[in-house]
Amino acid sequence: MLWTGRQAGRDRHPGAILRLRVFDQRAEVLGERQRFSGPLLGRQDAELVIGEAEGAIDAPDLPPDDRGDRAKHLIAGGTAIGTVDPRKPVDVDHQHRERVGVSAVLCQQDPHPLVKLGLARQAGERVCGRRAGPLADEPLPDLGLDVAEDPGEALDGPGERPKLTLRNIAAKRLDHQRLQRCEVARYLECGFAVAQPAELADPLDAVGGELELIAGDGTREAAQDVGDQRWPLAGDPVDGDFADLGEGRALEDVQQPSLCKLLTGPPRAGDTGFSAPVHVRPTLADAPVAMAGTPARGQRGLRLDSQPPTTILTDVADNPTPPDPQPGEAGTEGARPGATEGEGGDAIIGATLEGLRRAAQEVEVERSVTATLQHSLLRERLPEIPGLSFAARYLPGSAEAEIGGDWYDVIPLRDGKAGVAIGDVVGRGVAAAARMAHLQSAVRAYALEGLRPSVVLERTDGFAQELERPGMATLLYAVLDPEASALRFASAGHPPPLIVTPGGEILFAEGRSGSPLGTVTFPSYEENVVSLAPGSTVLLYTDGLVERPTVPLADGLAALADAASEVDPEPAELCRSLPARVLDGRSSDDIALLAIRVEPVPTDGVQLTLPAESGSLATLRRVLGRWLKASGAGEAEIYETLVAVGEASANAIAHAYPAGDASFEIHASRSGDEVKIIVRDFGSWRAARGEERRRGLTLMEQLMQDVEIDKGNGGTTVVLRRDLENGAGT
Amino acid sequence: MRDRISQLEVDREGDVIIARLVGEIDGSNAAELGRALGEQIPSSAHGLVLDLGGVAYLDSAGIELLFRLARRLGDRRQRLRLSVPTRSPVRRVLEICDIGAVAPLEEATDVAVARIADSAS
Repeated sequence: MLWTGRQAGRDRHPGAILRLRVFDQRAEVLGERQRFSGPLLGRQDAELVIGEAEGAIDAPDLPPDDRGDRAKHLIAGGTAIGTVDPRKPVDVDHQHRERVGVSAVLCQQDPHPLVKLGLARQAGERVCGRRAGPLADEPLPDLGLDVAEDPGEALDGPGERPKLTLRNIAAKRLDHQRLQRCEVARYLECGFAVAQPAELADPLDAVGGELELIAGDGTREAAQDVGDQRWPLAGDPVDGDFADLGEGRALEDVQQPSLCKLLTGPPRAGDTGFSAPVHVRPTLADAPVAMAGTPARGQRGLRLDSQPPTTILTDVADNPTPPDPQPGEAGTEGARPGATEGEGGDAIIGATLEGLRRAAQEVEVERSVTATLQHSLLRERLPEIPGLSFAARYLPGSAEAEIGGDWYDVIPLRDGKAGVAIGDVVGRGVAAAARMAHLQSAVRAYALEGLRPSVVLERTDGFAQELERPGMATLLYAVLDPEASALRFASAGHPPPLIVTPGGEILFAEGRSGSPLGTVTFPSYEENVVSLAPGSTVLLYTDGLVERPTVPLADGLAALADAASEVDPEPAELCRSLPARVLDGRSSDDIALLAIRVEPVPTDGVQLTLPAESGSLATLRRVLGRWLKASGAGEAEIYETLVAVGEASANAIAHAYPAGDASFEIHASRSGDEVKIIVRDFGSWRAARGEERRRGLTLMEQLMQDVEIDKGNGGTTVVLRRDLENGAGT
Repeated sequence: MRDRISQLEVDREGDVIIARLVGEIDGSNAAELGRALGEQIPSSAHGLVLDLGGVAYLDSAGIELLFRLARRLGDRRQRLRLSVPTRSPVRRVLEICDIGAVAPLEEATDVAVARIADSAS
């Protein structure tokens, strides 16, 4: 922050009054603020510049002969970007318009100095200038106000007042009128109030209000004299002061569309200018103005607070190239070197509603990107795999809204097995979600290759180390075989699977866990096999469920086991109710849950209705295979029975009419050593065509002990019988 | 080639093509597998060894595939041998359908490759 200007004569005037008024379209005063200003206005003519405030104003472009003259340069970021002539509207060089933030012009009219305050930017365009301080790399937020210059009102002589009309452009996009309050050092305070002109096609078309900033010598009379004479639109001057609105009553109470008109004071010979930054500090909390476009967070808003006065005065004229203000010459109270102030985190110029809205939008965009990414990675519909039922859930972290890198996956494998994965990428936000996407793809690819769990982890680890931004991740990959009721898994630093047995016993799958992905050059992963009784539920989860600060992991696991013993182990119910029970109101990291139940095998038999399409054959084999195995059939018996049933089913599918919209039924039962399988379709029997179908009949007859085919009108029924010999089928 | 339930890997040893089928072959994928297999056999090859050691299921649709393949290769004077371990559950189905009449069954792939290579020289 810096302040340049002449200091001479600063004691001559005790102060000034700034008055801000907002009017509606009927010129009724909606609000007014006045504030006494300090001795700044006692200086020579001043020019306030709100723009880039980094460092001292270095004005190499400033023609030396202009200094000290009435026409002053508008300075932003050390560059003269326009001229300020108290007799004319602020004129910003066209090529610099986008750089200009807010400009305030102080003109001294001895003994009644006036303050001109304006916002300069190109109409309809986005902003102008940059923030100072640590946010220097970010574009200056839109101030939402515009200056419409009226060249027709250029001054012809003293006593005429050029006008600057402030048009609220950004307000078109806002639901609520907005308030910006700026405080220039301790000396000046001024503000803008802009109402929503939504119903106005062009807010300039309606003279709805007026922003009047009057600097006086500290007496109300002086200030009001100026106002009364010069701005009849304002109606009767409000005889109030700052307290009329009250500090707590912000200008957002103004609901009517309004315009702000800035009126400059009459120029006087010898007017000169100051340059000074304006501190604008945004705060997010306690906002008087709701921000439009900010999704679903009503309380998020904005207040622009005054910044405590920390300004430095240097004399442009006396210091032709003053990149660093001279503290010794900065004779005013609170003067400090500009560079120091410029680095202050809160010394931010122009961080306004629009900027915060944009920042909020960026956060929302990032959230949205992350959420979309993660959403697309987490299977919404888990695949259907006969003999297994799945449920999954993802809970975003409750502490921070940012989304992490937890994921789960279910990958149907050949032979009716399922690959299941759960992983946790360290980090949050888009970057973590992107890495999670990489890892998930890799796991899926390796899993589809049919690789065993330990190899999947090794390969994925190698893959992870090749990522451009490697990082740590934990991963557990398991292959579930519903026919064998077995879980084969390997873990890279991931918490162990929890198993709920059919009897309700809770245990954790035992096995050594290897290093997390991306941490060891040549990791080795142990493979563990856990036998699962049919009816068991396996729960895979991420550490958010069991890890708590200051609590040992073992205790977290114990708490999980306790909670699991109290809830229904049906997968969907487990995912639904377990987190709340475990967390018990605590906030947590992200949590991903994947529950898999090995379906109980019906002992009395199998009844299935399947679509009459060849894709049903594999499903049929899975279901029937499990049942045959549970019934004590040997490997060859199972295979041969499945082939026979497959042939009968292929016939049923071939008979289907209408094609694609029909189904067939399977009834399998056991009586003593004999298994009986009935395949029934509802189509019309067609004589076997070609060798394939004839071979099918041959196979049925050869592989089963008894085959009956009943070709009825309503469909065909095939009854297959075979005595089990406990593995002695051949 | 791969589908939901099967996978086909093709290799070459000299003038003999070795195709390994893994998984299950039924009416849902047999035709496609047959087509893919046909594309993998150049006319310059002496023959094909089809390794069925990884096949967990094969029914009459798969048998039909084998017969067609044998006929097609025979037309091109290329030989077909099947590699099927004795303990494979598939073996009995193959024997019932007498696939051996058009494609001899071998216990191991290398034996099958050698037989084709020998007969060609």
